[in-house]
Order: sequence, then C-alpha cells, then structure tokens
Amino acid sequence: MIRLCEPRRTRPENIVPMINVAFLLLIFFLMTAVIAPSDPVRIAPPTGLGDESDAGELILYIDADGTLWKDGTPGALPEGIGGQSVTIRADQNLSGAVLADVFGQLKRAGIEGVNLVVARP
Amino acid sequence: MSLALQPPRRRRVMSLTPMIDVVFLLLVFFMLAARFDQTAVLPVALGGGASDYSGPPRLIDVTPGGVRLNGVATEDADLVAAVLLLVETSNDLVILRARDGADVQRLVDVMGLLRETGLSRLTLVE
Repeated sequence: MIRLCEPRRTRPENIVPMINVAFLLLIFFLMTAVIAPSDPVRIAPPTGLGDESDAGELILYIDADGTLWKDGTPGALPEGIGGQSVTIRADQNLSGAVLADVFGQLKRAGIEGVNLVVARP
Repeated sequence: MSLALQPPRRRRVMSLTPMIDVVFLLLVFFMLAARFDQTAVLPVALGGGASDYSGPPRLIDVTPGGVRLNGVATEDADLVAAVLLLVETSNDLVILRARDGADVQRLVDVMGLLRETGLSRLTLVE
C-alpha cells in the first residue's frame, strides 16, 4: 500500500495586517479628500454640449425663480469678486432675461467671462 | 504545590462581520454623497466694451419658438448660415438676448448651434 503524504492542514492566512493597512489607507484618503459641497438648492442644468472645465473659484447658483445662491445662502451678488473665475449653475427653466441681468451685474463687478454649467445629453 | 498556568489559549479566528458592516456603511455613504452627473461648461463672454466689437451687428433675439437675427425672424436651421455671413473670423463676438420669456435651456440650445460652427465668443445681454 502506498502511503501518500499526510495532507497538511493549511493554516488560514492571517489577514489582519492587510486589514490594518487597508484601513490606514482609507483613513489617510478620507482625511486628505475634499468633499465637494452639495448644491444649496435643486438645480437642473440645461442640456447641451460644452467644454471640459474645473470648478471655478466662485460658484453661483440661480434657481428657476431667479434667486441667487452662494455658499448655501440666498442673496445678492457678493462684493469684491473682480478677477475671480465664476461658474454659474442656472436652472434650465430660469428666464433668460434674469440670467442676462445677473451677467450684467457680474460685468459691472469686474468679471470678464463666466462658465455656464450644462449637463451632457 | 503545582503552579497551574493558564493553558495556552487557542487563537480564535477573528470575526469579519463587523468590519464588513463598516465597509459597506462607508460604501453606501460615498455612493450617496458622490455626484455622477456629467457636466460641462459653456464659456460666456460678458462683453468687453465697444472696442472689442468689429464688423456688422450680430444681435440674436432668442424667443421660445424661434430667433430673430438683427430683428429679422429666422428659423433655427437658417440662423447659423446667416450669422456666418456677418462674421470675419470665428473669434468675432456674437450677442444674444433673451426675449419673450425664453428660458435658459432655449438659450443654451441656440448657443450650441453657434458653437457647432466654431463661433465660440458669445455674450448675453439684457
């Protein structure tokens, strides 16, 4: 009778160090990440094609009623914004005349151009 | 007297269930917090003044149902060809104006038509 090698009991791999490292990485990235602020108001951007771009320094939200929001609070255009890159998130149902009015205020505040956010179709 | 040491404890297999709970909690949190909508931007000039403008007037009144180029009612399909006759370079400024309650979606549609032909300097006036 041929005796085979006695089947060795495979000991379970110790996965605790791996979990430690994975959580360390998780905590590291959680702490270094910047969570994007959520929209202060529900905006459905108009559909269209546009350019790729990063978020500007100043993001203004204009809801369908024409209310301007900045940093989570409604109100008028902030002071001293000249020279900043401005991104506008306007609702698709906003009246174009109201948007043009905001653009006029931005121009008088010293802004030369804005980026209007559109949703890809 | 015999010194009774504790018998060597067998290492217990660690339970993975709480860790999986936490990981799934984090997963659900970030899935809810993430923003998946794909957005792009339309650059809009704010009009650099009269010295910036050259050539014949290019004022497009955008209405909910159509457009008026310099006051002449035009179909959307014919607009681009008519505007191209009025520009010298694709860098020329084209002025849009919302009329009769045209909304932002309508403006973006017309801007898209113009941008398809390479007219990328658009401005919106009151």
